[in-house]
Amino acid sequence: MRSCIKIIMSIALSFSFLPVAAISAEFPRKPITIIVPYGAGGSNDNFVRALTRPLKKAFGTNIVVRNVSGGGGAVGTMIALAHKPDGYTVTITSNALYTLQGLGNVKFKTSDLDVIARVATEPYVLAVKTRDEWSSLKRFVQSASKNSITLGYAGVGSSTHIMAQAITNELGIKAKLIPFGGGSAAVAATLGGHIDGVVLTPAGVASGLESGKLTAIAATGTSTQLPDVTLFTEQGYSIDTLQWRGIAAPAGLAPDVKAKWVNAIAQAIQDEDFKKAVRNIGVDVNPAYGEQLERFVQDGSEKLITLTRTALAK
Amino acid sequence: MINGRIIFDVVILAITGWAFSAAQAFPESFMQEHITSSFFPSIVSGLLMVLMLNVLWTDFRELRTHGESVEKMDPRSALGALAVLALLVIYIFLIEGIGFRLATMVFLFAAMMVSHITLTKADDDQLKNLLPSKRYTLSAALASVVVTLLTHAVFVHGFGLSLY
Amino acid sequence: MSMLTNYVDAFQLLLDPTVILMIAAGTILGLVMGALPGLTAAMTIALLIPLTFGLEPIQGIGMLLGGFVGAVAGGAIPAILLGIPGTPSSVATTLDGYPMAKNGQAGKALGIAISSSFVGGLVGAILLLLVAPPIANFALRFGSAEFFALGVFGLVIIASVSGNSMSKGLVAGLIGLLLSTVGADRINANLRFTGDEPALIMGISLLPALIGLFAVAQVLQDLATHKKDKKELNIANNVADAKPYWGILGRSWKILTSSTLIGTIVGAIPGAGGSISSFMAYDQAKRFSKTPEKFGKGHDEGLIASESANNSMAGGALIPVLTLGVPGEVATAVLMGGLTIQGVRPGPALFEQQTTLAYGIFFAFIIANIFMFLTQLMGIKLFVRVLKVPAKILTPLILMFCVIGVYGVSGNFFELWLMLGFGVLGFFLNRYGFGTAPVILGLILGTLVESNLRRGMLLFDGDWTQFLTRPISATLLGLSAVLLVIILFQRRQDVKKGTNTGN
Repeated sequence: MRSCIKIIMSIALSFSFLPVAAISAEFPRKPITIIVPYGAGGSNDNFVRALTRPLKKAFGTNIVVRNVSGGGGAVGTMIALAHKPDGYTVTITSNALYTLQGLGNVKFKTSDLDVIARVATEPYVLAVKTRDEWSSLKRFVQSASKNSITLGYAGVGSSTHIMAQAITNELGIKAKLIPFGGGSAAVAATLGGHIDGVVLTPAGVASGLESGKLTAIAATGTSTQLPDVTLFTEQGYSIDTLQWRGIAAPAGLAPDVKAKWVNAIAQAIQDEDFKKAVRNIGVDVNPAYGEQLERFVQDGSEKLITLTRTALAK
Repeated sequence: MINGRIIFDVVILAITGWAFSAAQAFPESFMQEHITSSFFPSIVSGLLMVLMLNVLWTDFRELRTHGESVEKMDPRSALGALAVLALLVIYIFLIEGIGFRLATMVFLFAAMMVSHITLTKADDDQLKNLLPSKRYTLSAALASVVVTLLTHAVFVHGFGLSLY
Repeated sequence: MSMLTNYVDAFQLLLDPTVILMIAAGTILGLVMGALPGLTAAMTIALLIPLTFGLEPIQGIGMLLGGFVGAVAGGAIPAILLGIPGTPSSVATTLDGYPMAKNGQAGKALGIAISSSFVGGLVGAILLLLVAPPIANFALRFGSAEFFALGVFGLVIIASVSGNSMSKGLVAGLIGLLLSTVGADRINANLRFTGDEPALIMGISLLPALIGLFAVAQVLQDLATHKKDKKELNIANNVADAKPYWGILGRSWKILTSSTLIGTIVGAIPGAGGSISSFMAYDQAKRFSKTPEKFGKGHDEGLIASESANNSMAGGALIPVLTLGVPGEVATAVLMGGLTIQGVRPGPALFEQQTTLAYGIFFAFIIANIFMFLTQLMGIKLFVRVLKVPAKILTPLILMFCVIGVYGVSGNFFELWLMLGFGVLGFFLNRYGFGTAPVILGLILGTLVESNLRRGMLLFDGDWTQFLTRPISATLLGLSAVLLVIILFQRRQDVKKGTNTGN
């Protein structure tokens, strides 16, 4: 019996050995893993899976998507950071990277990551139930400075929460901010008249806007989802933070590996299927690399960590 | 009058008591709230403590008058359940250590062997009567390898699930 | 354009054989996944989404809908045969389905389940087609106060799914409620009972709890209480019994009607419906039954209630998705993500701008339900044979799928340990008469009740009377109170009767 087990074990072993990676200028020599710090099937996951195909072509190697959910993105990011910075394990980033730090529940810092590229962005939008006195940003501010309104956001400590607080402060309006269990619950509450409006990303409010039941008051940036929307900056308010989706590796990536990644992403985002999928998800391809990206990350990190800390200060 | 039932009741009661006291120490809210973070856990754990005391009392009285109503486990079966539980623990560790495929093969094979030993009918419980035949061992080994590779192929290559 | 041309155009969309093929493929895959313990409806759809990337919209959508319908229906198979719900909405199916199988009526139970699923699924689909807008508008009237009241109403159900001892059932329910408070609280982000574990920040996920409490606990129980002189199951009889039972369904038409309505309407309420609609239907069936004492011991009425409700729930859950763009729970949220990728933007505009596709979705859903029934009809004799697989082979396989289900979706080892912990907890809860179904109910309802109470108090500026004065909320709370009194009264009567018979 023992010899029998031995045979089985050796068969089993031969099946499961992975090719050993040699350190070489040749990158990539083995499959690449993208860690999605959320569960399968969410919009982050869908986004990455849409990117996988063209990226596979660009690299000429297999790309594995690994979902690690938990802690609102904290667990997956921590697991990604525990890997060697060899370019074979990367994760995706968003503003949650900053708000998690601001909440104080995680030990990592922005500098622990080497952000390779920003792939797509979307603005935050303030949308309210359609009403005459809220037809424009100006009229909305006038009305809401006198009578307090209720604004919903996607979840306490999420970037929509922080932006709702930032927008309320910057506009100088009286608003009670209400946390919901996800953006769609906040939209439902607005459609049902239980709250007055929401601060979310365009994808969350798009169908409400199309039906005319919701009105987009203003957004923090442009979006193909909201062609005619007013920007806060156009009216003199300094709110321009964008939600983004990027690719990052643990800090310490070799420059040539990073350069190959940048090339691959630049090539992958030209793919027509990817463009279509991203458009349908509701975000805009808006790449940034190198210095421009560094500024973007530094800027967002400083701003959002501080905002989160003040928003949740007791 | 100390048996599994009473121990279980007491463990639940103790955990609930801990939860109740921990709930009193939750930090304050960042916004003005009429109902705080500790309100709901306090009510639930408080109620649970009261009900659990009642259950403990009833169980205790039942035991004294009628004895244990749940049938005693057969030692071999109980050992079998414990062994499979232990295998599951090892399985989870192994996935982290040697990856999904190898860990699953080892687990499936080991669990098939263990459950054969504990689930086989035999007149006397001597181990030599319970050991699986060569044929069973071989087919169990083959089955664990085939099932693992098939499952892995379907979920990883078919559906793009990441199983490490 | 008239309504009729919409229907005709949409129907033509579905005449394409590849579309039919995709719906069939999705349904069959969904059935298989739903039938494997540990793989839920939400996971099925999540796994199917990448496969739809290259397809035409109606093909991809058909496949996803098929997966959804199949997985919800498939969940009944292990619930009946093994006492392990294949997907969260089939928990109530285990209550009477599994005892039926243990009584040697596995084939009959499966037969009743597939016929109830078919009727429930079809009625849900037809209601979706005909009365989606008014139901959606009703669902929108649910604000914090109403959700709170619905949660309280759901908690009363715990009493009805408790076994012999009501206080033990309540203990199990409270354990679930207490576990629901683990993690950063949903209003203030204060960490509660998390220790240093980052994986607990977002709370205890339903999946490891469900799989632990039902699958792992059931496996442990089967092993620990294994009888060496166990009677051989008569497979041949069971295979012969495995056929649809329209007669029994016809006789139980009242239960069938109320359960499908409950399934559709409760399923349509975002944020509440999915997992509790079958419990609610079960509860109603038991309450209005002439033989409530038979429930929980293998009564076909309980099985009919649960299976017709959870399949009509699928149609109900699509109502807010398609008409409002608001998904109610995980499975439909994932489904909506899949539709969005196909370029369908669910919501009111769908019917104005993509009319043909919108009605195509309805028809695809109906066809998926028909395929679901046909596949089950062909497979039912095969399913029963699962009972023939010896436990020593089946046990390791079930556990492997549990691990894949938990780990494959979350990729988080901590959730595997959670699953294991829940398995041990569930084993003892079952052994000492507390039961595990109330824990799941408590876990689902806890967040609903607490966060809506607090959200409501925020919105109403601390004026709790609003919870009692808003019509829907007042009705639900009033009903809960009345039911509670009735239950307590009935239990007292039972106790009085019980003293004569002993035990």
